Amino acid sequence: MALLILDKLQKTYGQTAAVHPTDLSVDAGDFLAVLGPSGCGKTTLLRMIGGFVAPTAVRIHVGGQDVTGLPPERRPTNMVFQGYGLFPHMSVRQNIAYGPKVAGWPAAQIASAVDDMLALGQLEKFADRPVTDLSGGQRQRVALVRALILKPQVLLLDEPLGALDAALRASLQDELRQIHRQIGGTFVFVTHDQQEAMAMANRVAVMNDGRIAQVDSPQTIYGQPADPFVATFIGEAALLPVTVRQGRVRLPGGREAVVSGADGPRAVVLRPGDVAPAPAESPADLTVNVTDSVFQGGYNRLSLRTADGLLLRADVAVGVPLPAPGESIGIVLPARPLHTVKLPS
Amino acid sequence: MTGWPMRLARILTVASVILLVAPLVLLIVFAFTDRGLANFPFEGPSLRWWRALLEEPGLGRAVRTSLTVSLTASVLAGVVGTLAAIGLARLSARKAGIVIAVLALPIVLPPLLQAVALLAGASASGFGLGLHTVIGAHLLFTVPFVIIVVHGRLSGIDPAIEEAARDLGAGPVRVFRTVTMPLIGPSVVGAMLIAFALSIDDYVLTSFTIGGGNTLTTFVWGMMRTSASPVVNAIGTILIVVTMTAAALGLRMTRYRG
Repeated sequence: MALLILDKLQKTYGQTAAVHPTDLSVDAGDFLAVLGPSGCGKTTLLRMIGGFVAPTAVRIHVGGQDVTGLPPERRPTNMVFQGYGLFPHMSVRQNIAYGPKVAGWPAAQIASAVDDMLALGQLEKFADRPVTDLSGGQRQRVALVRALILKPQVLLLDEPLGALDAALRASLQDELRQIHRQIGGTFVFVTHDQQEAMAMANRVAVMNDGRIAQVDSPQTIYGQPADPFVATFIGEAALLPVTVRQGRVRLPGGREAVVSGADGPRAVVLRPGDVAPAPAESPADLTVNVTDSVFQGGYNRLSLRTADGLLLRADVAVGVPLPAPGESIGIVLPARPLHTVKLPS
Repeated sequence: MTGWPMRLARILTVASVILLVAPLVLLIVFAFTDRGLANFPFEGPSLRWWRALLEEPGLGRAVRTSLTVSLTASVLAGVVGTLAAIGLARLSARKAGIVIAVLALPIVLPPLLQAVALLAGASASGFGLGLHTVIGAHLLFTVPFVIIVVHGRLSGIDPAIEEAARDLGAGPVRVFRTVTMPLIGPSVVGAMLIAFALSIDDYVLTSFTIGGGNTLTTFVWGMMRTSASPVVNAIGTILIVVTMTAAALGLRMTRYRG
C-alpha cells in the first residue's frame, strides 16, 4: 500500500522546468533514495514533499491525505536538512524537544521521548551541551532524532551525510540503516552519491534533468538500467553498440547472444564484472587492446580498448595471469542474456 | 610592508589618532579645571563646574527632552528597522541591496540639506514643529542603521534553521518568537543602543525641527553663544561617556557570534 504518492508532480521556475511531471509512489517501510547529479531537481522534489516549495501543478498524498496545500508545520512529514538547521541557541535536549513542545505534549512525555531519542542517537553524554559544541557527525544525529521524535509518516533527508568526511559517512550509513530497521519508518533521502544510495536504500529513484529515469531496487538499477544515463551514472559501464534481431545479437567474435530489449540498434551494458579475458584456446567474443592494468587490492582492473575505440573495463581476480599493457587479448561476455538500452544520442 | 614604509604608516596612524582624540581629552580635562575659562594654564583640579552644572537653569529640562527624544527614537528605530530587515531578508540579495542603499541615503546626505528639507516638509504638511518632528527626523538616520545591522545578522542565519522549526510544527509567529528573535535579539538591542548614541548626539536636524525648547545639544549650543563657560565641558564629558558606553555596548552586541 503506497504511503506517499506524487501524482504528476511538477515545478517550473518561469520557463524553466526544475521538475517535469513526475509520478512516484513510496510504500510504507520503504527506504527510498532519490539519486541524481547536482541540479537534476532532486532537492526540489524533496522540498515539495516537505512543503517548502510550492509545486506548479499536482497532488501530493501522504497516508491517504492530500497535503498539497498544507504548510510544512501541518504535514505528517519531517525533514533532516542539508546543513541540519539545528537551533544554535539551544542545547541538544532542547533541540530534540522542540517538536513535542510545539505540539503541546505533557512535560513527562516529552522528557521520556527525548531520553529515548538521545539513546537512539547515542547522544546521552551530550544532552545538555549547546549544539554548537558538537562535531559534524553528532550534529547529524541530533538533526535525525529531532526529526524522528514526532514519528513522521515519512522522514525526508536532504543529502544527510553530504557534509561529512568519508570514514564518518560510512559509519553513519550503517547507523541510519540500523535506525530504519529498528523503528521501521518510511525514509526518503536525496543524494548525489550512488554508492550511498545503493548501500542504504531498498529502492532507488534515479533522476536526471528534472525527470525520474528509473525507480527500482538497487540490484535492478545496476543490473537492468532503463536507459544509457542510468547505466553510466550508476557504477561503471561501457555501452557496446549492437543491432538486435529477434532478441539476439551477433557479437564480433561470431557468437549469437540472447539480449533484452526491442529489435533495432541498441547498446549492450557491460559492467567491469561482466568482462573477462577469454581462457586459452576458447573463442573470444571481442578482441581488445589492453591499455592499462591497475591493482585494486582485491582484484586487478584492466582498461581495454576495442578496435572501434570503445573503452571497457574488466575486473580480474588476483592470481589470474594478467595481460600486459599493449597486449591484444580476447575477452568473453557472460553466457546469460545481456542487458541492452537504447543507443545514447 | 616592512622597513621605513611600515614605520611611516605607524607614525601616521598614531598622529591621526592623537589628532582625533586630543580635543576630547582636553574637553574632559577642562571640565575638571578650577579656571574660569576653557583654556590653559590648568589651574588645578576642581569640581566647581560640576556644581555649577547642577544649578544651570533649563539644563534639567533639556536632559529630559533629550532622553525622551532619543529613547523614543531608538526604540521606534529598533522596531521599525527590525521589521523592515525581516521583510528585506525575503528579497534576493541584489534587490535587498538596492532597497537598503535607498533607505541609507539619510546617512550619507548632508544633514543641513535634510534639515532644510524636513523643515519645508513639516511646514508644507502642517504638522507643525515639536518633539514629534525631532523624533521623526532622528528615525530618518537611525532606522537605516538598524536595518543594516539586523539584515546583516539575518542573512547570516542558515534558512534551514527556520525551516526546521516550521517542519517541527511551529507556525510562522511561533518560529519568530522561539527561533528568529532569540537569534537576532542581541543584534537588535545593540543596534538600538547605537541608534541611541547617534540620536543623543544630533544637533543639526534637532535644531531645525524642534521649534521651541531644547535638547542637550541645542542647549549646549545656546550656552556656547552666550558664554564660553566651562560648564559646557562638564556637559560634554557626560555626553561623551554616555555615547561611548552605548556605542561600545551596541557594537559588542551586534558583533556576530556563533
